[in-house]
Amino acid sequence: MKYSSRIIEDAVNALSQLPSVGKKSALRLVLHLVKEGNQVEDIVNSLNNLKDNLKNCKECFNLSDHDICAICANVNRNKKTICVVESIRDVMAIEDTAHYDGLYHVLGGVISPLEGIDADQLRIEELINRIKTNGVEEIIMGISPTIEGDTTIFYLSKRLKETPIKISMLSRGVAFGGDLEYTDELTLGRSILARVPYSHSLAE
Amino acid sequence: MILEQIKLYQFKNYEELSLKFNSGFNLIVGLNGMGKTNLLDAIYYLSFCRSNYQHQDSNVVSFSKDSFRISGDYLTSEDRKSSVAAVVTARKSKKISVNKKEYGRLSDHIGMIPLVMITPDDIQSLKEGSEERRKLIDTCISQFSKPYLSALVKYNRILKQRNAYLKSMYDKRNIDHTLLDSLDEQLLGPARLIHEERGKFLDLFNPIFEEIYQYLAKGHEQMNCKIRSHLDEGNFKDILRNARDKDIDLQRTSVGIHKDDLKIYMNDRLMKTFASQGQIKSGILSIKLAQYKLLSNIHKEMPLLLLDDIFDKLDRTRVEYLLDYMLNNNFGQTFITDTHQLRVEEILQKKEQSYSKFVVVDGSVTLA
Repeated sequence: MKYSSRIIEDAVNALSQLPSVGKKSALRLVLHLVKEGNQVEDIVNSLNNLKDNLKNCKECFNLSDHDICAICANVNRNKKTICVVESIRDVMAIEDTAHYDGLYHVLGGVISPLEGIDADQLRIEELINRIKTNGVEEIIMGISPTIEGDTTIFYLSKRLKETPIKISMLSRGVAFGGDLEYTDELTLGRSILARVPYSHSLAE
Repeated sequence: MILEQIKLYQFKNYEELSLKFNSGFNLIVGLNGMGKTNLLDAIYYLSFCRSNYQHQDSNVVSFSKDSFRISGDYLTSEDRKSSVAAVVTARKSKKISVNKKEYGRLSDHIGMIPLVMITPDDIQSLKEGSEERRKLIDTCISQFSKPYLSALVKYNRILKQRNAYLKSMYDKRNIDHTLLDSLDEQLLGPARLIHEERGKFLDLFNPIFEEIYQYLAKGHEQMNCKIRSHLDEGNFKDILRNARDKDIDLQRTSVGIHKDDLKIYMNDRLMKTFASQGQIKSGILSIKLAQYKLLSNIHKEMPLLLLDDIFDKLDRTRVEYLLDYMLNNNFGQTFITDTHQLRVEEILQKKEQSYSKFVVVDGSVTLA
């Protein structure tokens, strides 16, 4: 695409570096900002703030404005349970359910030697320290049911074998509101093998 | 399953092609290098979501083009129409759809259009490494057992992770044995399932294999296949554990079902070491035809049979025996390529079979 202005071109190139923004979307955004100039300053300020002031929580590695995030700092949350997740997005997803009142631990990924990610690149030692020092009683493995996710779960449970902690994992099966006939065979087969008593499921 | 029609666009040497097939025999004749095998490969692609010859889709696209499309209209045993399309585009994305509904995972399609293909390479497979012979059984079992295919996919993925870790440890001093333990443990389930299924498969397979061999060779040889596996030697967990130091040195996993070997015996002697060329040809042909027969017994759809250029390697009597066997055993739709214009045709005429004959000249096909 040919641009009439070098300044526009630079702005388009800068914005199109962002994920899921192509050249055309970037141009649309740039032309919008040209028209609504006063938004530019707000955006620049908030982005600078993001770069300079956002922190990782020292406890759970969630994103936070302070050294300790709002979840870890909340006195009403159950500090004896930690849900281990891959990324910050998973924290948000579980928080949105409003069914969990414990704490989190963000690993920063899953073990995948193919992508050069070994256990020591994840925040596993930090998790083990937290468990040993904070009187944690239960760990919930909130990790995606992929092969690499399973490796990570196996690994963590082996590392925690010596501690008396209770380890649980998210149940896997048919999606709520999903049609059985469209559920893939693997999931459906697993749901049949790992079926739960009636009173535990529908009653809640 | 009957393939009624196929359409190709920019697939190998076919710029554009549309062909209607016979529900019985389809003879595809032409000189070498004209595109006979490519046509069979397109049919193969619609069943397995990949070429039988090229590992990379970029090699399947017509020269200097960047995308291709194959579509086929099938008729199922229940007389339903089913249309399968494979589209590969420039950005290396591959889409397989059935009746315009796209699959989330390509592996979900495997087994939907059962197919057995016999190529001259198969005849070589007895002399080659064990991988080719594992492929012989894997492609067959995967078409009727979903758990087998998903265990295989899973096993290979974990194996890749394990090997990647073993490789990366070369310059590291402290090996994370807990990580290796975790990967080992993950291998156990899929390995057990694959091992059991391969064993069960051979139990069903061996009697059919022997029957077909005896028919083709007009003899009384005892034939059977066995799988030699590390898993026969005990608990796989211990086997992996015992091999760990060796694996660390080798930087790869030296034990497991990925090392299984299919051994083919004739009268209790290993064919590879003593059988004649003719016996080996009949042996491999019998293995493939036995797979076809087994698959047609288990699968509710009749598989397609593709015979690629195998008659050059066989004498005329054996070609006749082979076709006799197929005719006597209700084989389904068959596609045969041959460089010889008349060889197969004469036999089919003698046996009063209906067939269609296609002549391939440089990427264009005419019904003869």
